[in-house]
Amino acid sequence: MNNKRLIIIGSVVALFIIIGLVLLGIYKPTEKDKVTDRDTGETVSLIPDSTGASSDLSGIPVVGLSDLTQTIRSKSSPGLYTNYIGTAIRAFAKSRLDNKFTTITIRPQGTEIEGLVIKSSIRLGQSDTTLPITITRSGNNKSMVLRIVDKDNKYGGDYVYIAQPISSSKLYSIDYTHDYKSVSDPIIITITASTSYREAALNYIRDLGFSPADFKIIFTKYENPFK
Amino acid sequence: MKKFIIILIAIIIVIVGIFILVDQLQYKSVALTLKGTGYNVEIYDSVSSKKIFDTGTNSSLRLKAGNYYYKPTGPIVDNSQTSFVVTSTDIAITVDPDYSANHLADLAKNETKAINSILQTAYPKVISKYTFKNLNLYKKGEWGAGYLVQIVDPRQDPDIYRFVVHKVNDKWIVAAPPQISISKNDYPDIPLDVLYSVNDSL
Repeated sequence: MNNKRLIIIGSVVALFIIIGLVLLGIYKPTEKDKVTDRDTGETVSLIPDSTGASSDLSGIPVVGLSDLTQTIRSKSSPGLYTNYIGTAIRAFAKSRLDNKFTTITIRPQGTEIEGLVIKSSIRLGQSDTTLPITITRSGNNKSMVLRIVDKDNKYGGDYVYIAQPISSSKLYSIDYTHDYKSVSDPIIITITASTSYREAALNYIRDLGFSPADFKIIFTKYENPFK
Repeated sequence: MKKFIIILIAIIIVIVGIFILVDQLQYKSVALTLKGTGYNVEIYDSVSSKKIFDTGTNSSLRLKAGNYYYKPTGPIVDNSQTSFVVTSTDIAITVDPDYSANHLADLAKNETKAINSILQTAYPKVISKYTFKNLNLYKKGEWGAGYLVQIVDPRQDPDIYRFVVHKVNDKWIVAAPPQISISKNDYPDIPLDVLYSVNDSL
């Protein structure tokens, strides 16, 4: 009788241990209404716009904006652009990711600010996927261009977003058009410059941290002799 | 007492077995397909940067869930590393490395004349007003890009025209005619790295 009891108790204990181990092995927490962000440690509500982590515009939570603002301020740079950054990242999530990730995090780890250029990375949801991001502001603080680098072309290639007009000089003028409703359309830049200053205008765009390849550039009062 | 010990040992064996089973379930199959020849592929653990595999042929291995990268190695291939993640499923990786910058530069020396010639043929009326500069090849030498610099008074800055050529059936064709900047939106078939490179300043 004692032996039988031992066998039963032993079997039950073993069964519980097995179930426990199996559960430990296969159980992975799922994102429900809240998630603890793996980069910032913030508890983020996944109900859009119900968290301090997101800005005043609708869309998925963009985590890490407040950290970024503090970092920018600590470098004595104005933090006026964080709303634009949130808007730009949401536009990226909508047009390129179809909002399939529940959060986008601007990772504080490795964020570098050098002059007017902020280099960081974003994490898609709580996944292992991170993409480099470059945010370049113009010297007069009236322009910001954000670039999300998609080197492997998994999400439609590099994503470029201009929040405010690029400035001009006396030697050339640069203007742009951008329809916020169709962010996948190319950003059109119009350059008015004489022969000697067309390349200078392109250099200005390069100096801001962009590649002319990302834009559709139209030169006014100019005809390409090769076409 | 003896039976109790037997049961205890059995439980320990079961627990150890479960541990081994759970551990083994984290290993997934990674199938490597190597395109082309003359190079090896090395696989590294992203965390420790320790090399864990090296092969010169199509291979299959088992890797524990985690982050890794692979790197082609050989005299003429680009040895840039590519990251990959092993999760809960088996994966297949096709390795098809581009040529190294040095090898592409060697190939470009032999192609400059041919590419200059097709530009002369395509734009006979205007080409004499420009100087051909800096041909670069990309990928496996099948994409090329270069510059045509306007000949102007030395006191002026010239317009710089950028072009892209593509080798199809062993013949070069103009993929993007000379223009001051080449947009990725106008030429979606041209690889992005080629476009970014040619749009840099000369």
